[in-house]
Amino acid sequence: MADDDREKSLARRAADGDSGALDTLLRDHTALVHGVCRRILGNPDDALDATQEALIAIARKIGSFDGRSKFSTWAYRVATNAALDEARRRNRRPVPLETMPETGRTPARDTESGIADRLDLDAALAGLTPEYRAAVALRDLVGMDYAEIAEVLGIPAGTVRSRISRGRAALADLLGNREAPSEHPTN
Amino acid sequence: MPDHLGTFEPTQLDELLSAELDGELAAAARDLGSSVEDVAARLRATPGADARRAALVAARALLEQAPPIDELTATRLRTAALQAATEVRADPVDDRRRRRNRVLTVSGAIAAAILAVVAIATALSGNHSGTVSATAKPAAVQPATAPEKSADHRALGAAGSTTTPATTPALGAFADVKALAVAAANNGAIARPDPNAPQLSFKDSTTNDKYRLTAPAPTTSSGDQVAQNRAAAGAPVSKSKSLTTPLHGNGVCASPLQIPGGTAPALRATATLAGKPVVVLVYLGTNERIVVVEDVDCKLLNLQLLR
Repeated sequence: MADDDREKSLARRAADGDSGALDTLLRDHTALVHGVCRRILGNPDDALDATQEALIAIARKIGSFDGRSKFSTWAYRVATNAALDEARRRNRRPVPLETMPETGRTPARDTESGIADRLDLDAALAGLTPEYRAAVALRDLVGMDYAEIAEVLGIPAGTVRSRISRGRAALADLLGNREAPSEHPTN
Repeated sequence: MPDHLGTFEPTQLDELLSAELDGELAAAARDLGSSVEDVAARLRATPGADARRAALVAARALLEQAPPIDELTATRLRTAALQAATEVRADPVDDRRRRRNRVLTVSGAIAAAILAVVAIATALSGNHSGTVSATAKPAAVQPATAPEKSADHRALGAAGSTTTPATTPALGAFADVKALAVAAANNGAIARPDPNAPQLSFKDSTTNDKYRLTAPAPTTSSGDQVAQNRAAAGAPVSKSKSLTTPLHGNGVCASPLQIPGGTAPALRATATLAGKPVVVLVYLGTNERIVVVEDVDCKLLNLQLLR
């Protein structure tokens, strides 16, 4: 709550033209805005483009933040929309064959490698639509509850639950845990 | 849906386990029409549920890791955003300035258009094809010095009906044509109309401000009488019968087209208007006086109806 109040105060100052306050807000959220964009888009270049669009939108529209929600909720809504817009633009562009995601590849087991994890995540989530990936990102990366995600995405909470489950399950399948349920004890 | 053993299908199991991880199991159970306890018991009864839960936990842990972005790139993105915000804040000022400039431009264009129309109208008037403007205020006009003929019609002294002054008075210098017209209309040298002369009438048109002057059938040798008047004023006499033909020299000009043929001015005078010499002609009506201002080339500069 203290963070929320602080951010709302910063947002008011930013809306009044305090570029220092705006810089603080952007600095606090750049990493997660980029994370959301990256999760939704699954491509580093597209993610950077969407991140830029999102940060610019946040900076330009800061005056429209009315303070009724948390600033972070508002900011990640903007970021999500920017990423989804980028995804729609990308779908209209021809995609070189070598950059197509390899959805059926064998997952890397080196979970200690951050790079390998990210590659697996992109591949695991590639089978989902950007809207599904958005729900996963907003939950697991940003930490929104289902109601907030439902508000941001404009969908029922039950749909949010289903989408998050699908995203996690896709990754769990790649991690190799789906194929042997009988190995686990039942009660 | 739970099967006959009270367990869940894989997709539903994932959804319920995922909700359980997020503390959303109560809502999920409610959507299923079950209690949390019942759903939890059935999850425990579902084969592989614990392993699947562990896999989902692992997946969530991976998904919670933010993809890295290097600080240089992040700084560049923030800088661009801050610059965009600065431009947005500057835009309203620019918009107001642009709007103000647009208003000034439009106003200037309208003013230029009005000036162009006035210039064209003036040029047309100079060619004796304009209309009469009655702009003088009635209060500014003294009562006519000439006796009025009749109240039931608009008779005025016609051609040869006035005694044209033997001299051409100089009215002086004027900066404003209205002042000149008023001074001319009130000049004491205006000749009195001859009550025996044929009558010409000024016919009022449909508006108060615009007048079209008409004349009855020309009386005999009206052009000759005008020529006589001109001669009396010391001007060379034109052999032409046309009143539109100016008579150059000594500031004596023919009556403009707006004045009915054969009508002699009650006053012919000279003056200086805005530094330029002009000829002033005053024609008498029943209740009004027509003041015509022409330049030395007999080009009509202004025509006013004063009441």
